[in-house]
Amino acid sequence: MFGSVSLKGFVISLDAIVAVLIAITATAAVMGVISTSKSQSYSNMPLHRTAEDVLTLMDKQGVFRDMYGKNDSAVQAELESTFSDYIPVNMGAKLNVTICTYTGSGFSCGRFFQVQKGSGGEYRSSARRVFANMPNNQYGLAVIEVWYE
Amino acid sequence: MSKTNKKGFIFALLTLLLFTTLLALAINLRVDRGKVSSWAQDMIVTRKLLYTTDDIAEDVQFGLGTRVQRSGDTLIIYDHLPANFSLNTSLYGYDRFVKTMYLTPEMRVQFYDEAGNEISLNQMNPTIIIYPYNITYGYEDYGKRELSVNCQEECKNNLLNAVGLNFNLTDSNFTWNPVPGNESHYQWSPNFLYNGTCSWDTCINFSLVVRDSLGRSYTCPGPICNYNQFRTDKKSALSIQMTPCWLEVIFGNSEDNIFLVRLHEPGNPDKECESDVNLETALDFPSSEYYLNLPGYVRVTDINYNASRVLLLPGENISARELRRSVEPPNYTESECFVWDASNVWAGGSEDRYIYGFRMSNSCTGRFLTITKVNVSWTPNTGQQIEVVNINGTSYWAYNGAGTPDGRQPSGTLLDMVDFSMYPLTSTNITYLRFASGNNMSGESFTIDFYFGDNTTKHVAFGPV
Repeated sequence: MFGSVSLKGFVISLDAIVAVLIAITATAAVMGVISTSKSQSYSNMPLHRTAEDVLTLMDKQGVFRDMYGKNDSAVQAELESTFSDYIPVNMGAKLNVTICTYTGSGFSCGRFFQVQKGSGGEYRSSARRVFANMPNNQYGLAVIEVWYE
Repeated sequence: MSKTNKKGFIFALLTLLLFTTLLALAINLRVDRGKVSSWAQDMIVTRKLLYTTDDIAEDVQFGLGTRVQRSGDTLIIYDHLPANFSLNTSLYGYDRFVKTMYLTPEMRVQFYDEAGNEISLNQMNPTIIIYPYNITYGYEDYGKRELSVNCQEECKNNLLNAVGLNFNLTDSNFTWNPVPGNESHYQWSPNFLYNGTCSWDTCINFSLVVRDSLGRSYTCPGPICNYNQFRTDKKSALSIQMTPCWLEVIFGNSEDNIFLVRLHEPGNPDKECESDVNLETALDFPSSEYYLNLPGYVRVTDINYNASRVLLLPGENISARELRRSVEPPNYTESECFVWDASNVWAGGSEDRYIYGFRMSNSCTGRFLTITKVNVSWTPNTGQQIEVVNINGTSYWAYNGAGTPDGRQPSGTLLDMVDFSMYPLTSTNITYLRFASGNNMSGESFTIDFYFGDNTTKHVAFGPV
């Protein structure tokens, strides 16, 4: 009698172990399928929109055009003091600005500015903005990267 | 089967069923997320195209060196004659900067003139167009030595209520004192001006102030100019003696002119003269529902997604308008987008065996057009043979090269070309059709059947050339 009970218990335990193994395998398989389908693009939409909106706002407010009339240290100081105000609280961003002059034979790009808020995230989205000072043949490019902090 | 075995079997079956259900659910979820991912990507691409196009269009409006201001029904354009910077260089520089430094590799930008020809930005007509009145404000060239405002249709006062001109000549002076008694120093000739008595529908109210560097001014209406109306269908020309240049203002003429302003050498209207003029032109319209555009379009294309957006270039600081003037039905075929013009086709070149001048366009805003084959026939057919079909400077079919069949071909042969694609709203030429040596094609009549990528065709007939 004791032997048959032990055997029964062993089988039940084995059954339970097998069931747990099956459950773990099933869960792992499902997680594996779901994780491979996670859409980077879908989660990047708000980032992309923010990147474009920040540059558009800075452009419409004249932040970029004002750079043409200021010296480099004034431009850098203004960017460092105001850039964070444009970025949502749950996001970080890095802005690079390059200003070039058309010389007739090509472009001479001698002014560069960079400012950053936050430390960097896994998923980033970027946008670009062009701004011009036509009378002086000066053209600027602003490139922003935005991420979730 | 014992009870235990049966229970075990049922248990195992249930487990398998649950596992299969879970897996099916996960797969379904993945498929849905894939669809959302594709939709999201389409949205991002569309938004990026509109954003980029608007970004570029916003800068171009400053290319003419003018500033515009709206005040209800009145539009004020602030300007400077002559150009105080090289518009040609600055617009070309912007064109190059956008195309070589601004755009990422998958993006492409093209500028077009009003006719749909691809241009560099500095080839755009130096004009602002005011819609819906179709009034143009523009210059003879980028030097901005002559400014004119014109109607594109008959100029009547239902398009424009009044014109106010304010000229501030910062380095010019009257050679006389603008007071009564000095009429010999200025001249209205011809003179179709009125003082409130104009009764035609071409009468436009006007005011004119010309101020020199000493602050003296000649004004209409005023002590020595008792007029406040001109007729757009009758010319009235004012010449004022100043130094270093004489100022000329012409109201109305036979070319739907509203006004024209220029400076010329003293006593010599045929020779232009340069002197700084700060102008304010106030145009008073029947309503405030007007908008400004430049005579051109910008198209931005995402090459990876084969998607593009076309916008009219704005003439003021508002969002550019996406082109809507010909929204073809979604089922429009490539043959329906294909427009051709054979009015300038001619035979020429060596032995008159070249046919030149066939122009074709893609009139659609959202469809690419691909020519895959052509069938060229001609009459009278005296055994001539076609050698080359050259489009836009490249041979897309040649008897000894591109396309099939090989060898020179008689009339009515289907020529399978290297596919030639046309972007929306673009035009190009069949640069030439070349025939075999000894084949004089002068006087021939032609038919060309174009075969397109969507398996539609277009039959074209022209001649004799």
